[in-house]
Amino acid sequence: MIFRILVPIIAASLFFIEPTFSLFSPLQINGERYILVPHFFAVFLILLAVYDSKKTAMIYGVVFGLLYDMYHIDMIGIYTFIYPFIAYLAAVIIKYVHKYTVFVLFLAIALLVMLEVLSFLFAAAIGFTGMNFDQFLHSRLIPTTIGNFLFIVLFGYIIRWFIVKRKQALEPAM
Amino acid sequence: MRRFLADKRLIVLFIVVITLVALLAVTLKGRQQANLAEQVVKDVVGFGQSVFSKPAHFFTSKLADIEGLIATFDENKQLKTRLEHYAMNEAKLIELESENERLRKLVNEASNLSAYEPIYATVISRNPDQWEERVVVDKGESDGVTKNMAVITSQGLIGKVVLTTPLTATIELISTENQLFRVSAMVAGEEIFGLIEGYDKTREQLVMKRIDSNLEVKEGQKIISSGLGGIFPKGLLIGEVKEVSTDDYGLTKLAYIEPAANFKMLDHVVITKRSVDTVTSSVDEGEEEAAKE
Repeated sequence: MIFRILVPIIAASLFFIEPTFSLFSPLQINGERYILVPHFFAVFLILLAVYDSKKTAMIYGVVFGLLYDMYHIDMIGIYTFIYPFIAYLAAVIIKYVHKYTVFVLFLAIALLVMLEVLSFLFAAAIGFTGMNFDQFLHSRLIPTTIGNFLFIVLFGYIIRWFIVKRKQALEPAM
Repeated sequence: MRRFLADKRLIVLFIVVITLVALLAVTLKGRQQANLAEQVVKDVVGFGQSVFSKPAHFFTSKLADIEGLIATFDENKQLKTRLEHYAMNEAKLIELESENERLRKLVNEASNLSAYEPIYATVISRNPDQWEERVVVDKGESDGVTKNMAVITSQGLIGKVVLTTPLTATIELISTENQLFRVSAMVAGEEIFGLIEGYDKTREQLVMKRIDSNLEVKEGQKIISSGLGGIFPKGLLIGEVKEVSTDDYGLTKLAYIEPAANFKMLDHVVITKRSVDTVTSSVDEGEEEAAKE
């Protein structure tokens, strides 16, 4: 029963930790600027779509995407679209492959790269950034992917455990 | 795939996309004020956010303390030599301040462009996708924060307030790529005015434009806010001149300025409430007029 409450709490915590982490970014290593974007919530969303259901993941995506847009960007429609979209893709793709840890890891990384590229396209379209694609790739996409890869390796298993436990707790009732 | 297309899901998808695009279009325009729903969301999320970021600030400050402890001996030596100058400067400052006040009374000028009331705030979040250089602080309208106030740290100017709700304020940092973010600036101690307009991401320096080409700007000179834009108080330190060149048309000078403040790891900031009546214009980039003189 407790897992039914714990999973939303984890979702909210990840959502709140992201902006705190981005206070540390950009990193400066050997005079090069690297932007690290924490996508903890997106990781959670992908795992939720894989190990729980598409519907649950998309609802989480819409709700938190809306909060994200309203709080951080003051422009509604960017993450409100991106979050449910990657949840949907994750749920659809996982049907065709086995839920081996390696596959899930690979899927999560691929979707995070897609998320970053989508957000870059939005930012470029709206005029938030004058970065070209090369700069974006070098100073943002690669460090971000590495950073989030580490996050998945370190915490993915724990998050998965909570999600699976919640699903098991819910199932007999349904 | 054909089954998918036949599905009514496609229609749902279309409706969703259209709704989102419509929402984006409505909210995209530079609005003056967030609506009620957004304000409520901002305040509630902002509260949750501060619960998470305040302990984080506590830990980072403790880490900084430890780092400081290691460097204590060397710093102490340096500081001792500075301290002698400091005492001298302070005595001078007090004298000058009292003289300034006396002269001000003499010319019957009560208002002072430099005067401001500080509002102390803590940074609770930075836009995680980092496209816009924005941070949110935990003070809002109920503490007297209004739009366009200048925001500083102990080191210098960092940005201005762009959006307020009752309990939070959003600050756009001066390191933004937004070309409309202008600050009227001057060389400290001289009558040389210009306009901070944009930030060079690769050089990591601010660009000060529209400096009269007859005037001599030297490297190493300090740049402060001029207070003439009608929004920022006068005398907030912006940075130091690193390089001077001419602009694209060769009509005015252009200077690259190393910002005095550090935009990374922001925790405590001061929002400056100007004591002189602030010009209330509907255009929030109202800082232009200063440079046209």
